Amino acid sequence: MNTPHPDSTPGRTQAERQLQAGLRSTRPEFERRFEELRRRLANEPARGLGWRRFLFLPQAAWWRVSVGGLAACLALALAYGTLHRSGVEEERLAEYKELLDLNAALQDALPLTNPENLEVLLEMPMDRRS
Amino acid sequence: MNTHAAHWFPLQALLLLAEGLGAVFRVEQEAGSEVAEETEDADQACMRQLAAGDTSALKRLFDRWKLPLLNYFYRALGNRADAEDLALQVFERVYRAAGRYRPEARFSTWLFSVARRELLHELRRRRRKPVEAVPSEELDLGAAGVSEDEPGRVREAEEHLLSTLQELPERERSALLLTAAGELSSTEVARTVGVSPNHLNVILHRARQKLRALLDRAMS
Repeated sequence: MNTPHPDSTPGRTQAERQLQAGLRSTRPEFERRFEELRRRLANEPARGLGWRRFLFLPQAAWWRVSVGGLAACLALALAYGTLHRSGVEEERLAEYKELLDLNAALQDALPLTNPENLEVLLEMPMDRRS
Repeated sequence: MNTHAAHWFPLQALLLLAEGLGAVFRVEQEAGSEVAEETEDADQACMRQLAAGDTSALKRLFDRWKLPLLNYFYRALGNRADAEDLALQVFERVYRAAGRYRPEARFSTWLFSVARRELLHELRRRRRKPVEAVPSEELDLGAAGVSEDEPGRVREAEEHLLSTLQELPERERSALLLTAAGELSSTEVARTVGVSPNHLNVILHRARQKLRALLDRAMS
């Protein structure tokens, strides 16, 4: 049998060796496309820091002023809202003062409205002298 | 006394020679690792500059890694035009990920992990295309010890190789290509394809066996 050893197949060994051989260089078209990509990326707006970048960029001083002003307005609005709300509550308390006093006075008698107590109370003998 | 000295001398000479060779090897190895460390430092510096928005750093990374990436994609897809598209996509990904990049592994490992993800995505997305081998003069055959005397034969072998590689499962193909390229150590290749170093050896052995069988079939 004169079967050649598999490793002696010339085409196969050439192909296997060729695995080590890479491309010699790139094409000008590929280089041009990369430069286009780089320019496009360079022209994109700044990225990475998100909203925090506005706090650190020196040229964005007007942004810091705006953000500060907005925060101050928000704080004032919250303070006014809180004070105004407490005044309204006081007015409401004065309006219902009579009812609230009555409620406080009758508070001790509330156990009498319990059904058991109520039944006992109704069946109690009445003494005219008391 | 003289006889003893006569026996002793060659042995001593051999030991000295071995020691000398070992020292030379160590010096070469250290020089190699120093170069690798310098490249690694340069790559990390480029990533920091990219994170700060300096796109000139992308150009430096491109110049360093364009050919390794192109070779990987060209052999993995069997087509140069598709390889160029994917390589550019990888550089765009690198730019966009620079702000989040943390040097936990070597830059090359991270880069080829990104490249492999792009390849997997492309393989899922596209239909299989016929391979298109580049002309033999575009391959660096000298580095691989392949004769450049017969361009037709080289191109034919390249076509066989590309077709055969397409038959291999992606993980085997990537492991084989990344190992053959020599840009990554075996540990880095293992990390890139997501297996342990021992498992990588098994994968490589299996891939080489399949490649040989498929090439034999293609040649016959």
